[in-house]
Amino acid sequence: MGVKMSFNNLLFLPFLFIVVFLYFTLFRKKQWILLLLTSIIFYLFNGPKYIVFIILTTVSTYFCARMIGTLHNREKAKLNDFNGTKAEKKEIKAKFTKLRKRWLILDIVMNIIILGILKYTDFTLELFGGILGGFGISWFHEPFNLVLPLGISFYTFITIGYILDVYWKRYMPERNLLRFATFAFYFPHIAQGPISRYPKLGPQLFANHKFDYDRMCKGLQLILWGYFEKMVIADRLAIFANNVYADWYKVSGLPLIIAIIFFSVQIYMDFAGYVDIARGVSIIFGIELEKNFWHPYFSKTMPEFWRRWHITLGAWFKDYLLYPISMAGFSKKMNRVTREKWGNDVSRVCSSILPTAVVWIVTGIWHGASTSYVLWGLYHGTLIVCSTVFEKPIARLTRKLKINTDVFSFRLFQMTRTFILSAIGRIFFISEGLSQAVQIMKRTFTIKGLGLYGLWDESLFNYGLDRYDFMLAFLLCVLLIIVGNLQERFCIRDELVKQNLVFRWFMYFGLIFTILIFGIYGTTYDASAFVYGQF
Amino acid sequence: MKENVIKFVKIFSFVIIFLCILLYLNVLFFPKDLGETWESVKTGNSFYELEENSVEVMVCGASVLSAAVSPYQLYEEQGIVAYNLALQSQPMMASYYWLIEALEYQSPKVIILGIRGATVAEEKDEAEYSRANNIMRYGINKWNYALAYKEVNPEISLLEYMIPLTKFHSRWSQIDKNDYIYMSGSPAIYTYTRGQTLLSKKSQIEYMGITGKSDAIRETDSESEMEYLRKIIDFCAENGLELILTHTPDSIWKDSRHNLIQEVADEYQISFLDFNMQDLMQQIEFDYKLDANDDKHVNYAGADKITKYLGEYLVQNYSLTDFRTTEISIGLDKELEIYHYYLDNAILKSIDNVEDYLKGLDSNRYMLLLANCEGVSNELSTGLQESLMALGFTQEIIQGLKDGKGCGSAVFGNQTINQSINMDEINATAIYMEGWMNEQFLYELTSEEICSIVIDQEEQVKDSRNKQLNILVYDTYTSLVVECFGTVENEGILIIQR
Repeated sequence: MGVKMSFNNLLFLPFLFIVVFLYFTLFRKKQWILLLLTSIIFYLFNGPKYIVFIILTTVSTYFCARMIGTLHNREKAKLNDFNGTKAEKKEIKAKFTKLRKRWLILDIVMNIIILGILKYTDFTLELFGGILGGFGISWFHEPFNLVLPLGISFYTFITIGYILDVYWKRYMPERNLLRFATFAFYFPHIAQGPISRYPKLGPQLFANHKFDYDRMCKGLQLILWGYFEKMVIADRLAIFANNVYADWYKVSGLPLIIAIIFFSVQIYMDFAGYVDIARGVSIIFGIELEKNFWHPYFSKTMPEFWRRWHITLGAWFKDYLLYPISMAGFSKKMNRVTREKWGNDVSRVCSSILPTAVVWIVTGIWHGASTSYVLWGLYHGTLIVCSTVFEKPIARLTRKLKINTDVFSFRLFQMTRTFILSAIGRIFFISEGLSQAVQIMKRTFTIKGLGLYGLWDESLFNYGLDRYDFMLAFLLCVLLIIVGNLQERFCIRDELVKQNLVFRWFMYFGLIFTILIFGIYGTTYDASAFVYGQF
Repeated sequence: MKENVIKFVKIFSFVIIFLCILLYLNVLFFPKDLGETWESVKTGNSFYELEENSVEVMVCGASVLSAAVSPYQLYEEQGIVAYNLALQSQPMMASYYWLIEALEYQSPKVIILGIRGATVAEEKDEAEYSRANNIMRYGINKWNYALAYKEVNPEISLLEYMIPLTKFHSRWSQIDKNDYIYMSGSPAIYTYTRGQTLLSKKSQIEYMGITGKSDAIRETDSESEMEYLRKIIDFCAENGLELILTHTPDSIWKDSRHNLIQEVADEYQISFLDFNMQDLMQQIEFDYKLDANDDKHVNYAGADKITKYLGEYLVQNYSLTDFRTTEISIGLDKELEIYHYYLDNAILKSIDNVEDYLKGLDSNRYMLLLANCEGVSNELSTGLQESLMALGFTQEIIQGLKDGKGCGSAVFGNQTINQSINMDEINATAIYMEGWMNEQFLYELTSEEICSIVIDQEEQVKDSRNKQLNILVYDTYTSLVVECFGTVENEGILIIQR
């Protein structure tokens, strides 16, 4: 199949229309089967040979989870019938735990190995070469440039989360392989999330949903908004940002400042756009996917930013990495020692450093196989730790300086600060290593070459956006702030539904034709893939 | 049940409104060529406005034929009702589908086909194919054309051909007056020449034509375009249409290409009139220097000679009706009068000497706006001064022009409407003009700094500072700006610099 299936592919809308039609007619009693078939077709469109990897992950996770579930049951049965001492009971528990852990480790290791080989081979070889170079040994291996299966980082995490939950007895494993496959393959979330949890998504997938006109309208609204975010905002801003960063060493000051702002908004709109389309599609099916964003650029602190940005990934790391590390024996021991030596405050900071560092390094690596992503992860980890360390001193300082923190201007300052900090992090995201990131930062935050004249002359229009497109891009950023602000107060879609038909339709047509007219698409454009699709 | 009906009506209405808006935007967004030399969109629009089955001769092909064949002259001289459907840079594939489309509305007896596109395809890019498709009405021919082109160029998107908004949406910042004029259905979107493009330049190229006797290898740039020539021949044969292949004087034409077409014509036993052949060029007294506009298009004078020959050829070889004595002549005679207005303007635009130009102007038809830059004095001959006065310019203005004063004036009907000497600016509304283009227009004459003539906020004279006597000629009969020019002195004579 030469055509790739993606939400921003022309083929997708007729594809969706057919699926929705079949979903509520021919397959109305076995809707999940249609979802499985559709998801497989969707996946096959994106590279038939890669489906083997997701099948491998799905089958192995299903099988290992089933084994863990069986061991849970056996343990329970054995303990129920057992009349021995507590120590003997403990011994039985330990024996079953050990067995379950084997299955758990087997599955996780296998999935991580698949992910690792496909995603990190070149990075590891490069790193290895670098280490050898440090010892004066010259070694280089041509990169394999392996093509990643669609959504590998997402479905690997989804399945790992599932088996960990089963291992921790949060729920029993799914008995039907095809049902489990429906969960793993579910096409709206396969490519870019949100990273769904089985107990929330599973029952919705397997329930029968009746056609609901209002629900369909709501789903379509969200899909439209998603396309608006992606095609009108993200792809427009990307033109400027990409052109500036293609020649970053030739420019300084203003273009780079605008580029980093545009890139920050672009990556947000790109990802949020995808998730909104995924959620909209799911709503039509009667399935509620989790929110992945909540106006992250309105965050007042970096920890808050990460609670609002890629929410499901953050929650995943919190549940499956941060907590386990924090609750591990060595962490508890360190906590105890530091508390006894330096008191509660220091202990709290010390005990948060290790899990935070691990989580952020892994977050960086999850995003991509390059040192830039690791640096980006470390940067954010440092910011999170710093915000924990300085939280109390800063609060004391603001009190002493009698700064009113409960006013709009202070909140604006906090939001701007958070935006700037996250935008600086984006420089790591787009750089090829530390030295380039530092160079870009130097060129961006320069006083000498700030080039404010760019505001008056035409030079800012030399980066792919002409005067009108540039102004439109600027207006769209303003619109985004307004819409975000309104959404913080109330649900715009719910409010829209209450309006009279004329107004509602005016808004719908406005949005549809705004996408058709101002969207970046067509054969004359290189249609941008969703940025997070590569992770 | 009732609720379901309401929902169905809602969805249906939504889709209908959506389609209506989409259709509107499709037309708004596709690029029009109004105001440019080649106004293919007008040719298409007027074609669809023709009375059904009213045309006996249909001209198909590219720009060379659009410039060369005058349907109104054919009517005036031979009584033939023809339409020139040749479009700018039209590929042979487009000619084929346009011919099929034409037959849906008309039943011509003779087809005159320009063959340049079958052999010279070096300039044919996607835009050329797209243009011919955009102009075509929605229907199976439009779809088949897009499909056929998709085979040649798989990169194109059929959706973009069927929904032009998806192809041209990035024009949103370039949508201008012309796009809205087009949407308004104004008379400005139709051709008053039945598809002929009137060109006025003189090529000054020495070209004596070809002999066709060369043994050069048969040559074409595009086999697929040649294939479409054969398809057209077959199509005409199947539909009982007489086909004449032709090519107009073209200084870059070659024997090898002529011979290739001649072979095809001989194979199918159809006529091939190549006006590049020396004997034919001599027969119609075609002087390439004066009768051609550039290296491949003929001007109005060349078109006159070619059309005259073609008209006689058609009458001699085919049984065509002389419509001059029929009922439809009433309408055609009226149209012919308007065509002559356009022809007059084309002739006017070919004159270089200012004195001759102004002498030829009918002061009751043309309105003139004049602006002279401060410090630019003009040597005005007695004859030129008389011509200016005859048009309505005052002695004061003429003296101002001679003295190099910044001055401006507007004249019409032997009278001065506005004038100012040592002026900063004149802002005025012109007298009421009967016509469709601009019932009223705002003009602005400035003599200082930029020294310009502005109509409806659009500057008409470019680089005016370096020119003497900046003049704008407005034709009240056609309600069009004929042209706007500056003048330069050459050996004591004022020459028009366009």
